[in-house]
Amino acid sequence: MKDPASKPAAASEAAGALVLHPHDNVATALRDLAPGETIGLQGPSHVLTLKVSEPVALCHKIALQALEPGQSARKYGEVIGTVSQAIGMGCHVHVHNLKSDRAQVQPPAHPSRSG
Amino acid sequence: MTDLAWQGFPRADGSVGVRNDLLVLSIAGLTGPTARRVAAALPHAKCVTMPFGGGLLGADAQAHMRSLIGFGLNPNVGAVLLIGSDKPKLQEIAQAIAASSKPLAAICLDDCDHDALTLTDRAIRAGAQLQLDISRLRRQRAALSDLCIGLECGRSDPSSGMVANPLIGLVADRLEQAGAQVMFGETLEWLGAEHLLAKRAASPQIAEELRAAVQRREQLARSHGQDLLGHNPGPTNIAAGLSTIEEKSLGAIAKSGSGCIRGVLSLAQRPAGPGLYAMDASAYSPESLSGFVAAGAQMLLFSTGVGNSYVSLLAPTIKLSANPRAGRTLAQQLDFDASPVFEGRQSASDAADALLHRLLDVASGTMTWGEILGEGDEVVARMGEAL
Repeated sequence: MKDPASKPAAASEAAGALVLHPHDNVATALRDLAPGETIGLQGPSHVLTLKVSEPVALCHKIALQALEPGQSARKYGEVIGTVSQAIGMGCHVHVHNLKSDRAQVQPPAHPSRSG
Repeated sequence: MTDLAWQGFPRADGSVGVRNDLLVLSIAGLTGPTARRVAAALPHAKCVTMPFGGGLLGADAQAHMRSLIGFGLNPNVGAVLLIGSDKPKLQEIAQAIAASSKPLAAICLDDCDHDALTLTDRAIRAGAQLQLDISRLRRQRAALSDLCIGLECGRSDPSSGMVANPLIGLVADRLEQAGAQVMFGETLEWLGAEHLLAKRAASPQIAEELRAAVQRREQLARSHGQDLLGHNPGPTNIAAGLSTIEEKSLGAIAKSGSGCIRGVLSLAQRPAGPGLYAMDASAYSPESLSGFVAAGAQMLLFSTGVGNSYVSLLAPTIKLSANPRAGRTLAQQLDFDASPVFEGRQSASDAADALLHRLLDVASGTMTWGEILGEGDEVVARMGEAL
């Protein structure tokens, strides 16, 4: 198993979210997380607990630290996109504040019909 | 893990089937309804009808022929009943399949006075004889190295990338090390993870082919002004928590395990030898699965997050999920529940052993939910225009 991404991850009952790689700045919720609760983190994380700032559904991502626009989000130790809006620690990280760096729309080669 | 043998149907070409089906195969749209009528009269037959076929060009025409011949050559197919209206094409396909010494009958509408009812009558009679012939075969002991397995994920959520796909990866490593053929595909879902795949390529040329395949799909989306968000990841992926194609890809490629990538295959192209191969093809499950099946896959390992009922018609498809909700609610869709790993109640290594045993159990004849419930189909990808 050379790549962290190919190693099956396991969670403990107590942990609320799973960190897959030490370089990651997002974790994955192992259950529905409610604002205000403090959760334990499973995996190779620098922080052991995290206060949840927003509802984060099962399998959705939660920020392990404050993230600024333009910063890379990392999961599996790899870049999964660029932060598009400031994200507070413990906030939900998803399509509203994280954008793909790949296969984005470029203006079509022909002139646009709309003004 | 002492006894890793399974029981299968030996074929004349040296391959071994996990099933022993009569395939009713209509090679073009015109004879599809007749083929369905014939298959309905032969209740043990599997029916594949190609909705198009005339006037295909270039890569489309090649993939189409590889798919039709490949379905016939698939080890799970004991005999083939070919039905068509284009005699030269019917003969070409029949000769390619018959080269494997597989029992076959080819019946052309032109030889039936252009009467679909005459074609129906002749095809049912020929098919009935083939069905009797193949029913005489018995399963014999087979090895892991007799397996060719396709790997797929569909309607994924983050549990797919964290648990279910890495589990498939562990099984893929075991199979590949035992001399089996293993194929993964879904090119679009290498996007953002191609650097990790390229590192595992057997040669610099294969690494370049992997990167080029991704670039071609990425460019295709761009040239149509198409943002991948909403398509891949799709709405179901996004609702489940996947935010970008990179995130999805990094989870998706975990299915391929850690083995050396021996080559990049075109759609429905058979691997040249044992080991792990990448198929450059559509990421959408029906087309992707049929690409593997036409390339010779006898079985498929198919992970899902929230659930996905689709399976191959010809290759038993083991559906698994690590999502605890799916594990509770989809008891008659999931053949393997990986949620104990997600919840920390089972080790990944124990689950991988169990999944490999499940694979061999199904290879030896135990049915999947998809087979029992009839969720299977075969769909050949169409790339461009026809004449």
